[in-house]
Amino acid sequence: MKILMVDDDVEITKAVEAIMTSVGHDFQFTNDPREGLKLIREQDQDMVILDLSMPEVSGIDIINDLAKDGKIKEKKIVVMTASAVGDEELDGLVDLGIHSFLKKPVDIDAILDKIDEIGSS
Amino acid sequence: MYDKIESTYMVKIKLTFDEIEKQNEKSRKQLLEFKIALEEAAIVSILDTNEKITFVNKQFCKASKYSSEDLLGQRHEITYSGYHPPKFFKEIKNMLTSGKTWRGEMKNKAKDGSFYWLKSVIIPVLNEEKKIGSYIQVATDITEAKKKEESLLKSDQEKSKTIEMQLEELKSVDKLKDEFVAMMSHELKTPITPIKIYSSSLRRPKILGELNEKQMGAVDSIIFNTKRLEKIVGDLLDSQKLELGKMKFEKKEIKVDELMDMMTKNLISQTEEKGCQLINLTTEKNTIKSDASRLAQVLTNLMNNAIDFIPKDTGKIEINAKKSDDGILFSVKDNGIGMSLETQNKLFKKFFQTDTSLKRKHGGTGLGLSICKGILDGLGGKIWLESQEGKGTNFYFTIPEEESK
Repeated sequence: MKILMVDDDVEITKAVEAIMTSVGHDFQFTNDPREGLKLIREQDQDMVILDLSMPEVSGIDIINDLAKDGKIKEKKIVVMTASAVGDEELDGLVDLGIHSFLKKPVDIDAILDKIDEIGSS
Repeated sequence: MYDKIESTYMVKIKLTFDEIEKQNEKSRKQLLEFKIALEEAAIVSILDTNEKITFVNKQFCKASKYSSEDLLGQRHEITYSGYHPPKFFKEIKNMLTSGKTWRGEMKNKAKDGSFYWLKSVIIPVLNEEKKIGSYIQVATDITEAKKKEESLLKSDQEKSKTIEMQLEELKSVDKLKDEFVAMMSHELKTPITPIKIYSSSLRRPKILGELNEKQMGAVDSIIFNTKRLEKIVGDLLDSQKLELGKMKFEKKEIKVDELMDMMTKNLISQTEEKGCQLINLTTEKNTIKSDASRLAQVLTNLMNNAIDFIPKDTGKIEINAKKSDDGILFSVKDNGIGMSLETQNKLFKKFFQTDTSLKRKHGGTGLGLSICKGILDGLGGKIWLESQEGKGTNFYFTIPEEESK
């Protein structure tokens, strides 16, 4: 699967990349949210893993931006969030068209399960 | 005969003159008395209709430091200080020309440039034609009182400035606390994430390749200890947040019976490992508005403690949640070793630990119960216990049903 991860944490993206390439996925990542938005728009991924809390441009900003295009559902955006975000906010994001959530701190098993879930749908 | 008439008239006229003389004497005396009184008590000046000074008393000269020669014939502006705006004097003029007496306070300038304040009454005096003939000013020197007033005002202003500065300082210290907590959380938690990612990936042969038994054992140890590390870091951060008053609670509707079910599910395997029983006695279906993850944290802590202290094979833990006068009453009861009164008194203090050998399994920082207390305080509830050595321990805590103020 072609997967894009947008997260400002360098160590996490490095670790996930090592795993993803080992498993055999076409994995790309960026630590810059603005570049992330660009890549999501320009390329055709099977799945996007998006961190919500990034400085300057947050995951929520990116989602709002993409929602305007109307193509957000196709992108299969999986949002990573720490428990700080309240449920109403998360439900709101689902309404905007994201696919689902992953809890932070990020768990590799959960990511792999999510990939299987999207891959089989 | 004319002589007689003349003398009678003369007598009459003389009598009238005497009367007039007597009256004059009386008036002169009264005027003198008034003059003496005013001279002592007040600052007096008189202006003509051209606003020029026609009379000043000794007090006026004393206050203004001008001599009467300096003042007579001068316009009253000679003592102006420049403190009052033109509007001030316009108002006075309007009042006086309409025949009204003006009362007020005025700041004046003396000959040597110093300032003095007067509390004045200015009276327009009407002449025979009912037109204003002159203005009389009678005043008292209030410079001392005004000075006191000004210094009080200054000190008030200084005080409020100091308070403002202190407030700004407090705000910036508070901001620093926020940033510190955020940074600590981030810095301590983030290295743990890649460790977990790599170590759980090592357990999946398809991801990073097959491992031999020894290697797998090593990975298991890494995972286990990383979990312990996570717990300790989490406890430290929670403790820090509580200390700084920076722990945030998210209050949402919680189904209490479902929460207690979930707790039982989470911990039953651990109790069974020890051959013990974990019984959920909750039957009531109550709902409260509180922070579910923090409540779970408290229950996990209490239940883990209970598991540690109950005897193997005969150990029993009972949990319950039911309505009470103070809201929902949660309880975690065990038949473990119990504790002395001395221990009970120190229990909720930071870093306090009972027999350390028993506590090793759950990574004892000694912060668990002090964190529980901090969480209950933050949620508006109470936590306490009953215990007897050799007989077991009952922990209780309440969560109020209404949103507490």
